[in-house]
Amino acid sequence: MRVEVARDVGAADVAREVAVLEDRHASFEALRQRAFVERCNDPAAADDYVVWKALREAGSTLEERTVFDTPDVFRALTPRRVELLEYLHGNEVPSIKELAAKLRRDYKNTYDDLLALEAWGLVALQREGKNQRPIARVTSLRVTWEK
Amino acid sequence: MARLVRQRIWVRRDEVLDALEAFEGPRRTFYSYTYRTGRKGSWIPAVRWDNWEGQDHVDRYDETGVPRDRQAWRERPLADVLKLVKMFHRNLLTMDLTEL
Repeated sequence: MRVEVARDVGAADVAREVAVLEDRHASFEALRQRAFVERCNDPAAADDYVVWKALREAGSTLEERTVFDTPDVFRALTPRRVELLEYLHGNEVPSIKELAAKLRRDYKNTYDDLLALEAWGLVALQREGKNQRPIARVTSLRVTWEK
Repeated sequence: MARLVRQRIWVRRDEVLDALEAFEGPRRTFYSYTYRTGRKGSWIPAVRWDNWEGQDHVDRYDETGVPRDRQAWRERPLADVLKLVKMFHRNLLTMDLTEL
């Protein structure tokens, strides 16, 4: 069994990606040096460098996919959490509090559900000031069985 | 102008294979496949196949994510690497990867 999750990456996502890279490495030049000098110690630096270098070029695109080669992911996909994913797919919300209010749900339960989804990479919680902005990392979800 | 494809493949709840590929037209200019294990909320690299600086090789890391050894490696597609990961999991750390 294989569950494939696709995500459309738009201009806002690319800008967010670059902001995260700036946050993590200060500047592209600093990352470049780090990637070439220390890449053995930090393999993520090499990947970040490849991504940032490409995103600096006009017209470059980024595709993201998540594949679950284990049925364990279904433990995370309760009806209420699928409802969260569906809402986040169609709407931008600045905070968990606002998401809970929009869905008329208790804050704590909403937060716990988002953490469970985040653990499987289905949602990202991006810190913005005092708030955490929930972002769906799912555009479509497809289940296939291999013969 | 590049096309980047980033994938996370969950093999088990605490094991993932992260893949990044960069293409210029039909040509693949970069790939990396990093097998990571989850520990205390972090994803620690265990084995990584890539062609950084144009050289196909595989790196292995200890349980804290510190590099342990490096071997040459013949480039293979993601599907082959995923098969290896699903077959051997953490045993990859003690095997001769050049023989696989």
